[in-house]
Amino acid sequence: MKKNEFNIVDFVKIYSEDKLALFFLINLIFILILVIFGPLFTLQNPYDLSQLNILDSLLPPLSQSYENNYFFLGTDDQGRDLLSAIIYGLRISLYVGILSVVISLIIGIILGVVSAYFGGIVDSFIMRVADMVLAMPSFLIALVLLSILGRGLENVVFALVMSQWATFARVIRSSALSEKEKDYFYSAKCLCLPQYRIVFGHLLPNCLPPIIVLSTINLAFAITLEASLSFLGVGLPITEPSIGLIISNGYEYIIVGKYWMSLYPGLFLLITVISINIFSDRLRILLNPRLNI
Amino acid sequence: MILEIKNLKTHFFTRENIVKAVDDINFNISSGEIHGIAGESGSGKSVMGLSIINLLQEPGKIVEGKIYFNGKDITKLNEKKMKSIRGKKISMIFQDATMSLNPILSIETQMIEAVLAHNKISYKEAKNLAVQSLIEVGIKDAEIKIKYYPHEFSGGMRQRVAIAIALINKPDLIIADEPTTALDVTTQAQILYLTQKLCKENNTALIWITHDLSVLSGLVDKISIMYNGKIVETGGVDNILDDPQHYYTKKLINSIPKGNINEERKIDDNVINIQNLTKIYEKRNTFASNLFTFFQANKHDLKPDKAIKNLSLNIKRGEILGVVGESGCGKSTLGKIISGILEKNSGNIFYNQKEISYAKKTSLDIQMVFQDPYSSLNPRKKIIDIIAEAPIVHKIINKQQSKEYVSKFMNDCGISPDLMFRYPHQFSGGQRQRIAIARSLAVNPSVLICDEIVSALDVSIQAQILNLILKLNKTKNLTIVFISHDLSVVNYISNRVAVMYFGEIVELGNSKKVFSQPSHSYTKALLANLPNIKERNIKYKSTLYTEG
Repeated sequence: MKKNEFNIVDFVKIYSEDKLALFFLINLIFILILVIFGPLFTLQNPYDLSQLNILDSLLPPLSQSYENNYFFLGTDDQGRDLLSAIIYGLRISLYVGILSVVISLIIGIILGVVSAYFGGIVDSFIMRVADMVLAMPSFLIALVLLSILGRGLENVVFALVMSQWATFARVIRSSALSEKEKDYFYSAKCLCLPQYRIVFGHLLPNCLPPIIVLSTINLAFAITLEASLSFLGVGLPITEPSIGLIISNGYEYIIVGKYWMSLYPGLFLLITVISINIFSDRLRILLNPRLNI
Repeated sequence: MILEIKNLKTHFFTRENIVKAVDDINFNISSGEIHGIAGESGSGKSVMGLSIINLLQEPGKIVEGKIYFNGKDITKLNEKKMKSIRGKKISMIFQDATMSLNPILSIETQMIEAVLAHNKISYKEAKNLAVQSLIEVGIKDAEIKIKYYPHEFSGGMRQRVAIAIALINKPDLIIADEPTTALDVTTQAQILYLTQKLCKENNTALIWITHDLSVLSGLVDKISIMYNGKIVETGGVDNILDDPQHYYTKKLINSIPKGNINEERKIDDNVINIQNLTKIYEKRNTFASNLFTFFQANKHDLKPDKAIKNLSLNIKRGEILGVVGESGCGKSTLGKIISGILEKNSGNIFYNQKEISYAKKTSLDIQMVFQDPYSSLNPRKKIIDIIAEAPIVHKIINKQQSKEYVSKFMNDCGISPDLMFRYPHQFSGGQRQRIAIARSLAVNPSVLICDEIVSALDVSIQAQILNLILKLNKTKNLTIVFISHDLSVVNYISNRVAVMYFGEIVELGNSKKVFSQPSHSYTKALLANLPNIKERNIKYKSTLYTEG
């Protein structure tokens, strides 16, 4: 029955027993470093037009620029270094993804716990609204909202939050309901603790483990959703090009054989999403209390 | 010898270390013998049972030793050959029939499956066999009831069905792992009697694994005592119980609560007055549940459950009042209503002549300690925060005083205050129960309601907690309501005792008197079926309160 106290060194040790998961974790860390510190070592700021040279446009990978710089992944139709564009694009994609997950997490936690704690009509109302949201494909919700609101970073985040909060609320509610039956909850009531303490001090911290896994899965989902929206041209504006927009830009050149402008950003997106997914899958296994690591 | 175990070692390989669950065991049982294995939790008794039929799960493994069954070593058999033995030659009965029976298959399907897996006979013959063995375990109208699903039976009946399935192939050996632990006293007595009878009739050997020595006294031929993965003592029932040799056996026997040490006190000052209390658990009135009940065959289930019926009770200041009853009699509900956690439907409860209401629970004077020490402490808080939270919130102390305040109560409850910065999972069950008691005491209550606080604990730990409760009762003049299904524990600790049956108090009085001269027939039935290590002949006297 004894469970060890959470220890990051042990956790990494156990995590790395699965070599594939370890590989993708390293990958994920690498991508995060690339994205956070990217502007320090990219060749150019791809959206500073003064740094671009139209003579460099449409160069294949590994070609040399006018100023003898290497374009590892080639350039796009405006002479932009593709690698730099991808790093800047991933930055925006991850930013939008994380922001929307955090906001929907907060909304989901509050609604889920309130729903479980009060029960009755409050519970029914919140959960029926959540059911309505879950009944519709999240892509559709985001698409409809964005066509009404128009492009823009805030609007994309809003659309992603609207399509994701219900999952969080549902999961938090169900784990809060089972925690509510445990004796520590009764004993908190018996000690006349104020309601906010019972909800946020006792109930909430014990509902969190499934949420950690769910947020990482939803992060990958949010990133793909945003990329698809941007690809369709309803997502982020041209001034804040996410990875979806870069893929969409190169899309029309595939037909003339300039494959790299869509392929490489696509690959980067794929690797990022797979890394996050495998990471969350491994977390799900490790945090499963039945396995009792 | 039907089964011979030689130097068996079963170890569990975990990340940190190797747990030697079974450590060098030698054990024999001859056909028709009933052998009891007793030990506390973690002594390896269940693992030994699982090792025999090779149902060990990762990371457990038999590392050494041989198990001869009918003279053949079965530790080396492959899964396919083992399957032909398991269920056919050796079968197993588990603690909880609710878990061991498949809820979505009818009893018929499960029994016939068990027969056809090992015998080449027709479906019809298999069914006859199944009905026959249900009749053997005392199920009336077996031909109709065989169509039932597990949830349509009560706990005792389910365990009978599990026994019927275990016996259906006429095995040579049955391993029963705590099969009566989840059952009430009267049901337990029936199951004990039944199993013993069937095994003797069929000349089946039986290994009965339990933590409760008193259950074994009337049932078995021989007893083995396990401790830390080893069998420390084996012998006939009389030898072990009357003349134990090993110090651990002595300790186990001495920890069984015996007799009564508390006289009724001559006090007439009532702390709590309960008048005409009624509690009804309403059935959920939603569309889904209405739809469900619409299709349900048993319409009598539709009536709301009356958990407590028109109950009146006085609790005297400074006494220990025992409340006993079988599961579902409403004793826990009563405790929760008194402590203000549950709402009552009608009736009045007065605390020091003032009425208590559920809606505004503001008084800290009545506190409650719960059954399961594993879920009653918030796993994410340190002990100091668990104990000091309520006193700080209610301004009994301020934050700076908490360390001193908490150590005082930890000392009172017998845990070293040095441990206050640890988390609950670092403590054993008994220690956690002490922490839970300390938490309740920290708000200076005058009444403490203990709801089955020792039933999840081993006998020796149980004795310690009972002594703690007695000490608190004496030194702090704390009024204690001690709720338990265990009659001997209640008898040991209480001044007065209330016997509950289906939401009513059927008998109330001085516990010495109630236990020696019960007046109500239910109390008599309870006491008659109580296993006792002094009596060696199995009794089956309950005629009035049978199920089925």
